[in-house]
Amino acid sequence: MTPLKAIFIFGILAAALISVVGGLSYEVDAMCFYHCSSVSLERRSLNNYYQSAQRILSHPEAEQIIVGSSRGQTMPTHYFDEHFGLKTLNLSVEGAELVTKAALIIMALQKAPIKRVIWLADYFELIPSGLNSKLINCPALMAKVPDEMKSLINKQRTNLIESLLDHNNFEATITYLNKKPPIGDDWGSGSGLDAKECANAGYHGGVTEAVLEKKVDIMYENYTQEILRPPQSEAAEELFKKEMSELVAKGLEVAVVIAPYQPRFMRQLKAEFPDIYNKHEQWAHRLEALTGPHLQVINGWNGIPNGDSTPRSWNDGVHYTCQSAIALINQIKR
Amino acid sequence: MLFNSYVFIFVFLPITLLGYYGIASKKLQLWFLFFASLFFYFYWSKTFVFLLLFTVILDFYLARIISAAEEPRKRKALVTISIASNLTVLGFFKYYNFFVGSVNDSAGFFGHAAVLPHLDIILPIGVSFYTFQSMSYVIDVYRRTSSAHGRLLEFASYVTLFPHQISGPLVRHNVIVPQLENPQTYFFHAENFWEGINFFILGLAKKMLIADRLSPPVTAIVHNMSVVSNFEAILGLLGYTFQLYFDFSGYSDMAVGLGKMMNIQFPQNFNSPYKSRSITEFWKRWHITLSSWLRDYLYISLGGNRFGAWKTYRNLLLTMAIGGLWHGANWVYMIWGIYHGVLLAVERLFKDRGWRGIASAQIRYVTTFIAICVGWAFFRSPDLATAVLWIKKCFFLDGHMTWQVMDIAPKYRDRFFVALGVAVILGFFAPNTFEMKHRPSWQRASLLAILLLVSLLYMNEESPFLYFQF
Repeated sequence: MTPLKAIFIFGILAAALISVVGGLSYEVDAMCFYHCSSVSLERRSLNNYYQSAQRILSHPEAEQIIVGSSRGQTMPTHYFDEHFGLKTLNLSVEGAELVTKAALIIMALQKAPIKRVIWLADYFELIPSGLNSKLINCPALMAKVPDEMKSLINKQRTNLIESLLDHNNFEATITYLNKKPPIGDDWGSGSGLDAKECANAGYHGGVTEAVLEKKVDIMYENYTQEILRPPQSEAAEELFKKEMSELVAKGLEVAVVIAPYQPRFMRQLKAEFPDIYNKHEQWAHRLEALTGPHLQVINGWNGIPNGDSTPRSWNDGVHYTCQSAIALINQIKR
Repeated sequence: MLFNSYVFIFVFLPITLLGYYGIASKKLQLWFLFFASLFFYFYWSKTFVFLLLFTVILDFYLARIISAAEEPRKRKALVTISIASNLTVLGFFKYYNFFVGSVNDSAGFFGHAAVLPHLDIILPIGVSFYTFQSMSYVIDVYRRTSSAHGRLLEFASYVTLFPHQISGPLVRHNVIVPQLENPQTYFFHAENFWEGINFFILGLAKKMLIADRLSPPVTAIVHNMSVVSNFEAILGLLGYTFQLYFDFSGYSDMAVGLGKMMNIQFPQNFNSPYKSRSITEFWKRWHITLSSWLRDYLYISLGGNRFGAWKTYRNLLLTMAIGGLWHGANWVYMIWGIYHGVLLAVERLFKDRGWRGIASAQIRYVTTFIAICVGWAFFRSPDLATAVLWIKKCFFLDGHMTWQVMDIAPKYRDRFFVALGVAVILGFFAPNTFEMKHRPSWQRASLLAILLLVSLLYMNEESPFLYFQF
């Protein structure tokens, strides 16, 4: 074969393969990036942000919502149903920050008679670079983002043509074709937890002491080297404050909950990254200062009530157990 | 703009190649190539492109004057100006804060306040490479081992040529400029172009599918060195050993491939270095263009092996220490360089005395590899303490023998082990890209198309080449 012919065959094959993979990713749209103009219960998607939005449509009777990141995924919602006497829907989803939380709240307020919003605040939620592509590439979710918050997003939007050739998207396509993902129809993360066991004094948690120690180290590394490194955005903080006052103005009860990290994580952070620690503390104080009628701020930065550093209270360095979740949320006035 | 980016592969490269071969006149083709290379640099920094041009113009005219000058003192003064200006640029941008940190630390040790201010300096990308390339040209003209080039355009195109501009190979003017002057270079040559595609895609796959799959666990292990298990420390060291090789040799292959697509031949930069049976052999196989540069312009300038055995050992040590520091402004690089210098000197001593050392080729092969890995622990660690702990953990000298694998996140784990397995097989047993036969066939074309596709799938996580920081 001549080199020219080989070049030609290579060119044709490369173009064909790229087109097939890109075309398949586009057509299947496993992550709801290309064909999802609105949230619907008909659509199956591997995008867990989209699934979280579907939960709102599945539960128009919800009266109380919890918005948070992965740290909010151990909320035993059925316990809160009884504790507050309000049907509780947990919309917490990994990596959720200000914009995602605001978009999910808007949708929930449109679809359900919401009386209370429990906002699980994270330091990183005011770092715009942490915005997730599952939100910013999904038109159905982007349609719910308040206009003033779009300024935090514009520069980060992934090129959708490039995402057609992204291995995550392609792997999602293959997974989707193998097994259709479920529609988000449960009461959210934590709804499957045994509320009684979580509240039990003899609760031991889900990991051993040794595993917890290791997981604290891993999370500490991850958080101090990446997640907590970038500065918070002042503009994002202003938008957060505005969001709070708008929710109160709509007649809602709002509770903002600031959770600490695992005690050893906290000690290490204070000793090794005093700058990050101090910024956390200052941020918690600024949030506390927002306390007012119908807006309660639970500043748990100094520790979880009756919590300790063991697997009873912590799954790793930043994720608390369902027992700690109850202890934190129980501080909210009924 | 990275070679492993959509904008390079789908926009810059096609436009450059179309322009290069689409223009009829040789002179205009060269101008086009020069401006494409400037744009490539300009895309990264609008300011530092002028620093690059300043270096090129200064050295071109200094070399011209040196070439014409007869008086030794004048020639020496001019070459000194060139070396001083290049080293000033390199020294200021790369080593100023390191110097300041060291001075201030020393002052602090003696109870004094900081002496010099720390500056926010951005390191111009590729500065270590283009200053060395440009400076070596002036030295060659000074030594009369080369005559001065007649035209600035050819010389400027050589220094700025985009395939090697940022991270090498450290090519010599007398290899590239004659090719740029040859009219045959500017005609499309299908065989070279085909080879170029082979080199480029194999290099891209090395980077995207091996080096970048090894990278996240290695980073996590290095950051968590105090708590990782002994087994993780070993995996981290092996992972980094192969990550660095596949990252840098991948980049070099891509550069060679890009050159070939334009009928410009670059020298081989890696020749299966982990197949070495001694450190001396390793340095003939690893980053060949840098080690030959250090030999020709530093080791020989220091006296080489002309003044007896002990001065030879001293020169080896000094050359490697400076070569180590060339990689970055951190003591760990210098320690890595000294470590290799000591090993080279010891091997030289054995050779000089006629001592046989280890007879078994297999054992030499293994011990050389282990010695290289130990060196990489210094090279990768942020500080000396981490490097020492890493080595202790790898050799079970930390009082533990732990085997759990928890610091490698599950999402990276499978790919890490697959990439490491493939890397070990390719690094130890497979022919390297230069040894391969790139015969045109539909099977080969299909394999390349698949490799390109899979590499593209990982391009959203594009990461800079490790040698960019140097």
